[in-house]
Amino acid sequence: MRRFIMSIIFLLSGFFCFAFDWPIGGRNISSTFGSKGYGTFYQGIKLNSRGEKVHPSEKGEIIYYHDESGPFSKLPSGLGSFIIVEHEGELKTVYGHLRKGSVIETPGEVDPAAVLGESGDTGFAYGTTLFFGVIDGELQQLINPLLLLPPFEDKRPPVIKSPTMEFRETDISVADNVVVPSGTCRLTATIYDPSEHVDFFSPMAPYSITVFLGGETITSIEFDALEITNGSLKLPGSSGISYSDFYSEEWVLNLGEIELQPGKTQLEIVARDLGENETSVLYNLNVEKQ
Amino acid sequence: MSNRKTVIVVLIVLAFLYLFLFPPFLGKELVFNPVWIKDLTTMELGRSNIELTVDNDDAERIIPFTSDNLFGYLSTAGEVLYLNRALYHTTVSQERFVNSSNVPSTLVVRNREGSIDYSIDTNGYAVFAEDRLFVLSPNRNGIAEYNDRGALRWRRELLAPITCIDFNENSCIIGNLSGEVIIFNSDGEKVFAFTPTGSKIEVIYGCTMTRDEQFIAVIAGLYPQRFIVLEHRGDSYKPIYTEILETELRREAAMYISEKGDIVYFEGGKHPRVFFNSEKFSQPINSEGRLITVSENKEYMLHFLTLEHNDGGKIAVFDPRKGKLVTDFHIESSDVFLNVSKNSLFLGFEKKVVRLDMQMR
Repeated sequence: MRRFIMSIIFLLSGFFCFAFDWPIGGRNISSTFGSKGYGTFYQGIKLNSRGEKVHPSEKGEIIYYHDESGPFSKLPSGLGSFIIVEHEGELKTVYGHLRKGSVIETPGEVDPAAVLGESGDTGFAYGTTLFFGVIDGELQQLINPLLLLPPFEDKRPPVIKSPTMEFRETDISVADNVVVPSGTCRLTATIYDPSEHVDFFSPMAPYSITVFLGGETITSIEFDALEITNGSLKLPGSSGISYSDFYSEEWVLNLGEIELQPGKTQLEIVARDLGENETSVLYNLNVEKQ
Repeated sequence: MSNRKTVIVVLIVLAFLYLFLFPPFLGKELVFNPVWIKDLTTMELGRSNIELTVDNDDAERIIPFTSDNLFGYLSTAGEVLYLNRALYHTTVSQERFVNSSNVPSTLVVRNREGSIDYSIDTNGYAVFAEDRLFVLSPNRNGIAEYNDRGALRWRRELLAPITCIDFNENSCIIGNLSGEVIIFNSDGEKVFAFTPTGSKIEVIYGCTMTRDEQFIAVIAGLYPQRFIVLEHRGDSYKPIYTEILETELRREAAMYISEKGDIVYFEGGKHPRVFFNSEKFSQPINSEGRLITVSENKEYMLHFLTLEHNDGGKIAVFDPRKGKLVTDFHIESSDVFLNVSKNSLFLGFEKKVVRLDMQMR
């Protein structure tokens, strides 16, 4: 229900204010929610920055912080110096990789004007950056922060490349009017969303991917939330896809198994980003009885 | 009259006998005798001198240490067996170490001579707990254990970041941002989960457990913040003590529970606090500072606390039997390493290591 409400808020973004503000001035996103990150789904967004002041995205209370300049801890911190703020409705925001020693000295209640610290390179970070994540304590989910932040300009649509049908004995590159055998195969494709704000190759996950076969939806994946199932993070709205199920090689996504019946059919892959840019590829397939 | 004299003589004799037979009750003085001091800045980095140990199979004689961006192994005789510069994250066990950059994609596990034992292709930071190897995921909400050949034993992801952790030979206890305390066994199975309630904000700030897992202690919540001790009874744990704290810690709080679970040390504002399980009460320790680590000396039954105080460090010696601070002393560095081995203290600060032998006289 809550995700539905969030989606409605997102769709009505042109008319209403967003729940959260951007924690730093720049919109230089280099990793998005659900993308390939450190052997698991990336659990928030990563904003490239140059030591900017970090503000809470909404009024709340600091409930946990860690400063790498502090004394010995049994617990190493991949988030480096970080702060977690609790907001109304059991939403918590995470601000990671803050500059060592910059963490606010008197943690307590904060409003969006407060300075939590400065973006830095502490913890598992390549360069100066800010990790921003959202935890929904009520739904027990990690939420895509971009659903709650004001939209940013994004004119570059997602990229779909190299769709491949992996049969038991052979792999077939999907092209228009390709001849493929009937039966079950695994569909893979390289899909990512390029960022116009990042000058190096830093592909990001699109917001949604849908696969149609013969006009019927066979796969629908949305990067709106992650939840824990059997001790690992999964995309809840997509039949519980885990990271290892979803990412095979670098940016090659597993789009699920498809059943091909003899005859002519169409395969369509549609990818959308949060800037409402869409890319779709359509292939006519000649399925021969095997 | 002679009877009175006899009584007086007997009393005097008894008093002398008491002095000779029960001197501890009259109060002995704890003396630290310096044995050696090593200036680590004069040592060559990365070179193994393991052959210097007379008996290098005797693991008790080798002291792993990390101090002021240096780490390595010392013999109790003061020989530097291995020394190197600590990178972003370093973990050192009795047998092995991992010294990694801030973004390692492979964790290289080396033996104490510095040679590669094995490596693990994973992202995260390694933590040795005695000789068990854990890896914490980059977002701090995943934990995995690897065996001594580098094979994954188990891995668990959590929704919220891990806020505190403690280990023993068989289990691992974690607290998290969702206010949950979880014990994982050596197969990674969740054998116990507990969510303390009663605070406006439920977060676990500190956790510790005994080696036999009979007792666990946690610092939980905000408004109010509470210190809770649980005991294993039947198939579960039952709270046996709860104390409302005056603190409002919003970061990891150091805790230490003694081997038998009779004493718990924890942060308590300006002063560390100590909890006595048999009497079910806690008191502040008369030495200001933020608790960092605790080590036990079994012969004299003394506990050594390292504290952070006024941008420097402090060692506080506490006698749990008397419930009193024996002594404390300030060190001009907040990065203090302390290892208590038998009756010797190995104290590291400002790139120097000192051995002090304890004596009661």
